[in-house]
Amino acid sequence: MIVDYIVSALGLGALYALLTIGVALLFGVLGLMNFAYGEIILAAAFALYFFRDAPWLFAVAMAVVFAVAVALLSERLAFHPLRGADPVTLMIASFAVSLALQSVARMTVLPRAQGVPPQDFLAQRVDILGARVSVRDLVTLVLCGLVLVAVAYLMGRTSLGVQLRAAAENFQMAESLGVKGNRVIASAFVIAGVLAAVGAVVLVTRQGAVSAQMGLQPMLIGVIGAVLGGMSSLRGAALGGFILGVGTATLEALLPSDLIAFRDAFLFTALIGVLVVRPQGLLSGSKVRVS
Amino acid sequence: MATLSESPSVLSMRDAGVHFDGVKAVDGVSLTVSRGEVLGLIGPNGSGKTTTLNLLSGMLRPTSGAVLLDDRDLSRLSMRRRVREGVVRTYQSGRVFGRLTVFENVEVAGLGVGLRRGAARDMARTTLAQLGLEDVAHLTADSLTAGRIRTTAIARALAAQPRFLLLDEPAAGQNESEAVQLIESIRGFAREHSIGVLLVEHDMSVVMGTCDRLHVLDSGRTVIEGEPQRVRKDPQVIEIYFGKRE
Repeated sequence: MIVDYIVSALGLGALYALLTIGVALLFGVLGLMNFAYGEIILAAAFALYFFRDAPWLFAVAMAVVFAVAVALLSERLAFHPLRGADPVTLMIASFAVSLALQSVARMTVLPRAQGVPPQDFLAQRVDILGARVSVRDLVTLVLCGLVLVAVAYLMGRTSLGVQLRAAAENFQMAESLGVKGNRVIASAFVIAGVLAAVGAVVLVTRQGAVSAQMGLQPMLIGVIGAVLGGMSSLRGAALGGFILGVGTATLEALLPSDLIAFRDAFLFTALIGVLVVRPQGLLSGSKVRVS
Repeated sequence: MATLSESPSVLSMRDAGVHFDGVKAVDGVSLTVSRGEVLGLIGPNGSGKTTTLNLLSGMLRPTSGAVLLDDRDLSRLSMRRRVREGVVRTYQSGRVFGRLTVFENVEVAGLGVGLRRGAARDMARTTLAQLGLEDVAHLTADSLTAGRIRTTAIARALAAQPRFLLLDEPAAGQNESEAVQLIESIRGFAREHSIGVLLVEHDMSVVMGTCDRLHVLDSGRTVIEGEPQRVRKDPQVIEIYFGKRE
């Protein structure tokens, strides 16, 4: 029971951390609070539905391709022309992109929710330390954990990562040092796309279905986790998402069954409490941007 | 790297001016920095020192006149392009990336001018050693003292392999002897690597012994340019600096 809980809590924490990083990365580099992040997840989820009969790894690869394509297209068509615009303008634009993509999906390919049968191997359970742990939870934990490690490596140990972090902190100063702003921004969207795709793989596996509005909840999780951890620091954002995920799993495990429906009420009340004490988020400096 | 292999020898401003809402912040200023020399740009607050530096670095475009690298007109080039031409600046109060380590701050500058990661890291190591920052290289810049942050900003500018270095009050907030020491070490660098340095400074006594030449601005116009000893004796400069008590 306890092993089962740990695997599922860590898995959900890692998933939420990953969603949060996707949101915080674009916020850091562009000042963009990207509400269209959910539709990038939707694009990946749709690929999983579209290629549901193909080999699983192929479908996953296509999910990454779809998500990255939508991320880059939204950058090119909507956010690039608004470079340097007010954060509020960017935020409204991202709302527009989000609603447009969602409506297009609903009108064309996903008028109603579509089932994606889970892979057989994911529905099984394995013995770990005497506990029956679901393979799905294990895969969530391992996949999200690996992606987090990869992101940490990319951000910390590569030249792109250093430039991304520099640009996230002060875009103009980074550009004035010769850092290629357009390339850094495109990379940020690609990374956000990959993270969204991995998130979509896990979400579709857990939910067993794909629908036009399925991006909303993970996008909100990303935003809330990022606010909790501190928007201006990726590490903080990851921590915020992780805490949110572990908190959710813990409440699910501890709450009596008639209160589970109110899980989010408990969680977000606690979140408000944290933000009253630390409005800038857990790991952020004093710089707060409210918009 | 073709652009860097050419070796321009003079960065200059010719009759350059810029106005904001009709107010002339800089008005018909001409100046020249040669490689290997330190030119001090001095003047009272609001005299147009930082604006001049902004014109040279590309943060502002001149509304009249031109910025030249030898005979080539840079006036329309962006800051990033100018960095790649070897014109690099620092900012007042030594702005750096606070959440990056000191090492990464310098590494970014190397990457920015197109070095590969290994070369950028080597460059960072060498530069930090020369400026005595090795012991804090792994710390985030936020955690440093103000003086060390300024030195980091200078290290970062040097790592961009400048041919011309524009420093905005690099020694601000330090006492006179620290300031002189810092500028002396910058001068050493300038000579060793044949870098032309333009140094904005408001403290006359700091630049007196450390700069090869001084250019004095007042209300956006050139008052005098010349060797420090000559500038010090100029009646107009005396008027500006000592006539009206600050």
